[in-house]
Amino acid sequence: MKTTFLFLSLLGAASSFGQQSVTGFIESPAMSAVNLIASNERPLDFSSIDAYAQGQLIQNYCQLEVKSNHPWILSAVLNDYSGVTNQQAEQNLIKIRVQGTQDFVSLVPGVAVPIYVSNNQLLRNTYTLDVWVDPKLNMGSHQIKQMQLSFQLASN
Amino acid sequence: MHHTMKHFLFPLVGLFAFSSSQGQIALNSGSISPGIAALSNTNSISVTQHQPLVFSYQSIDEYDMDKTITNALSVELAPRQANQFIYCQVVFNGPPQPQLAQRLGLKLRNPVQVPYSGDFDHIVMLSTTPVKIAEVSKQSPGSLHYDVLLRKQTKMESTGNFNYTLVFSIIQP
Repeated sequence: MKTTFLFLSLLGAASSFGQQSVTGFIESPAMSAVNLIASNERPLDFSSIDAYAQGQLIQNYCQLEVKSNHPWILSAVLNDYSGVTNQQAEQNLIKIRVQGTQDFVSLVPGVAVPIYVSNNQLLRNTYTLDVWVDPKLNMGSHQIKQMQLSFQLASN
Repeated sequence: MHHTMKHFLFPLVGLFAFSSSQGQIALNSGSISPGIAALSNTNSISVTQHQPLVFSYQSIDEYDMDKTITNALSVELAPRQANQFIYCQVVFNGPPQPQLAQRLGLKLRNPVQVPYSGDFDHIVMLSTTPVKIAEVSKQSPGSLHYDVLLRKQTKMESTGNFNYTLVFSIIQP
């Protein structure tokens, strides 16, 4: 009888000492956002023949902050609000470059054109963009264009 | 009479073998094995969950902020003895998530000696291996109350839904 009692006591101790656990849950969906944090917007004047021939480079045109918890592709979309859009003629009108990269990328009205791909693991990155406007082959004289640049992110 | 005693000894040996293997499986640690050591003591640890241990993100901006579940759980030791160490380990269902585990932390709400000097405000960050979260003495309070933290995320990690377990162990060296 004594031995039976000892057996039951050990059973109780073995089930309680040592460790205990609690459970939880983390919901971490894929998310991303791009925000304009600075801009250098201004009207461009091509009234001189030199400006018209050489085009204009707008350095530090804007600064973007990209936040994403997964790899991404940044695209730029050019919207022409001038009423008359000639996609083929305008595809070299505006070019854009993320500072630190070599080449300007030509934008096409109404089309999302990839301009940069995430190349590090940081959740938050800031990029400065340069814009090159080259009207000589793409705009007639006495023409005013109102154009808007927008940016979008997609998963890579 | 002698025959009866032998009859009961066999189940006792079997029970010890079962307890030892349970400790080794549950703790899956490297060189630190507090669960195994605990089996040599008679101390018990109990953990009470006061809040759901659920973290969720509604926007990308929330990843830039620490999240806290206030007074999420409490840990009790019985009996309290000198130099007892409490360890905690994060275990995920499915593939291990070491980066995510290291963003989980425990913040002690009541004062007690903490294991590492320099720990700000009694916060200990966790890992997928056992981390010493507190030293307890006879003078320590009976219950240790903790907030559970999820630090902000600065680098890309796996996305999705993750079930995790906080495994608490006690050791007396």
